Amino acid sequence: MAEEKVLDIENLTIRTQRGRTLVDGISLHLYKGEVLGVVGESGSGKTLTAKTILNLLPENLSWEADRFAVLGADYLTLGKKDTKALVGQKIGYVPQNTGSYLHPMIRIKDQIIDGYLRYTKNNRGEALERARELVKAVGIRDTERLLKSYPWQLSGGMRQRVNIAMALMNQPRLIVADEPTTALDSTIQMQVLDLLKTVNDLYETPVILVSHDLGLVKYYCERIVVMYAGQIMEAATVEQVFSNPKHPYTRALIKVIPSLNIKKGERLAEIPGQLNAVGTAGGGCAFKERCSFRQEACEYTIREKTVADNHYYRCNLDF
Amino acid sequence: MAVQPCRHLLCGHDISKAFVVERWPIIGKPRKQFTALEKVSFHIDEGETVGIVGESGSGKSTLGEILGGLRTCTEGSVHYKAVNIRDMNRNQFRVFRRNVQFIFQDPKGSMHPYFRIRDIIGEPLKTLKLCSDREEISSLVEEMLAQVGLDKDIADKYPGQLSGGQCQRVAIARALIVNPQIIICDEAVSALDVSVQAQILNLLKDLQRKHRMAYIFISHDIGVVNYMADRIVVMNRGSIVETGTAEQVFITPTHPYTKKLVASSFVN
Ligand SMILES: Nc1ncnc2c1ncn2[C@@H]1O[C@H](COP(=O)(O)OP(=O)(O)OP(=O)(O)O)[C@@H](O)[C@H]1O
Ligand SMILES: Nc1ncnc2c1ncn2[C@@H]1O[C@H](COP(=O)(O)OP(=O)(O)OP(=O)(O)O)[C@@H](O)[C@H]1O
Ligand SMILES: [Mg+2]
Ligand SMILES: [Mg+2]
Repeated sequence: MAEEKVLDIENLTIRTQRGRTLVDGISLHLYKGEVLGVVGESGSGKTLTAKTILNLLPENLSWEADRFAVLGADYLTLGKKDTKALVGQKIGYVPQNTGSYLHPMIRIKDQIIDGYLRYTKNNRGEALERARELVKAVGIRDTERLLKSYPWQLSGGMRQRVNIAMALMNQPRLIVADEPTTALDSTIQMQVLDLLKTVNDLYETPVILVSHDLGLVKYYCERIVVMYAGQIMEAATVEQVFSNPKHPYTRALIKVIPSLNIKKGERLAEIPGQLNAVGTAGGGCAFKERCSFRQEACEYTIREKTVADNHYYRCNLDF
Repeated sequence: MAVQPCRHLLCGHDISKAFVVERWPIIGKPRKQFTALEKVSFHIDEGETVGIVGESGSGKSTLGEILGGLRTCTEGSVHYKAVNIRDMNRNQFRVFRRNVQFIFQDPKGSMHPYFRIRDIIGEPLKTLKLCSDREEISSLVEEMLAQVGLDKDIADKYPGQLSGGQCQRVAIARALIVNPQIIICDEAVSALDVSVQAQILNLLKDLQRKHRMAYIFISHDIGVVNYMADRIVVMNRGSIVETGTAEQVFITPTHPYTKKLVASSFVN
């Protein structure tokens, strides 16, 4: 199969108006049919990166990149209107903050079919039929009540699933799901992710799955990107990341996965320290303060390395 | 039936809740209702953690909101320190509201977008009239930020400028600032990555040891509930279908939903 690049981002940087860097030169590539997991510390820039792809970056932020192509369209040259049409038509987005993404005064059924009606020639009846099917597919029993409700009449998990159904309405060519199952228990979580996986299998729709749940990412993704303080610390296939993690942060992350076996009185393992502000590393490693393998070199320099199988990491050490 | 006086710190008797889904035009009388809770009883004591798990839409948040006095129930009663919250005078109710704090599922949604984080965290102090000195509030806010592991300069930002996890920690700081007896944590850690989640759970446990706080811990993540809770309540379609210790409920589940939940859990 000729590999078709769906996402080609080179050196993306996101800054505030005051010039503070939030995302610091990351590169992302995604191929047709692939499921890419994005994990990383809270505040590391996962959502901002996703929002840039959706052209939804808050107004007080700006981005620049050497290359930024989504589904073959070059965002660097594409006009505002065309970008908006591309996003609305071809990208399905599940936002992290599901509550504020829905309009409180519009019934679910009207919100869910809005984008679909705008970009297809189908009529309202067909749109509602499709909405009904999708809402059922994400495990909602009370379909009719849900469709008639306003967002505030729904539980958190129901709202999240409405967003997932909405993202799938237009048969997207790319799905960006930002923490899509945080409000769902494991039974429904699986059902929802299986649905995404089915869409991925059937139509080779590529998926970006932002999640803090490593177990889930391990299960559903082929490749993983590990972010920290606005940078990509490691990027590799799932097997590589879990069997042969190269970055100390990735190792720490794998170690702190909570499990059912943890004893009651025992403290949970944590990664000591806090995420420090992006761009304060001063040329050195952003993770150095919390790293137990810190060396002198980490203060002022960082080595980027790519080993076999496109396994990228950003660390001065070899494991 | 006369309700027994309640010995627990907080308890609910036979709570039912029906939401009006549709009203008759003009007259405004309910036309269609949806029963979200049906005769649910619940209690919690000082220093205890009770976990509530259950399917999405089973009524967990609604129950939490009723127990914390944010919503009224259609039937049944809630007692705080043996006083029915409906019979409380204003002062008593204020004490009650101070002592029962919430951490919500959707932290951004529960914060005013045009308030600075400093004011959001300090707000309960003002509304509950606990403290009005600006300096004092400010230093308390900074202390809370440190406790939840956030940087001081976050205080001057707006909610929109924070990531999901940072917002959740702000919500926790806001709940802690009034030193409550009970915190109702509604999916309080589900938006956090594992390492931050561990930090927060450890923090909650430390605080509990120090202040003998009680937690009502609503979560869909049975790994987390199992770790946190002394006692677990399983809800399904508006009723409690199973209760017991973590071991009882998760190792020998009896209700089909609990069985399914345990079987499908990713954690091992
Ligand atoms: N509009 C904004 N203005 C200024 N700073 C912002 C803005 N939005 C986000 N930030 C900052 O950018 C950083 C990255 O935020 P982002 O939401 O991408 O994090 P995240 O990786 O998605 O974290 P989480 O897992 O907690 O959702 C955070 O430190 C946040 O405070
Ligand atoms: N204001 C309201 N009006 C009508 N129905 C409501 C309202 N609030 C909640 N409901 C309904 O009550 C039921 C229970 O909602 P609740 O938020 O308590 O569920 P939950 O168990 O917390 O679910 P989740 O795990 O998804 O958060 C849902 O079916 C919801 O649609
Ligand atoms: Mg995020
Ligand atoms: Mg809820």
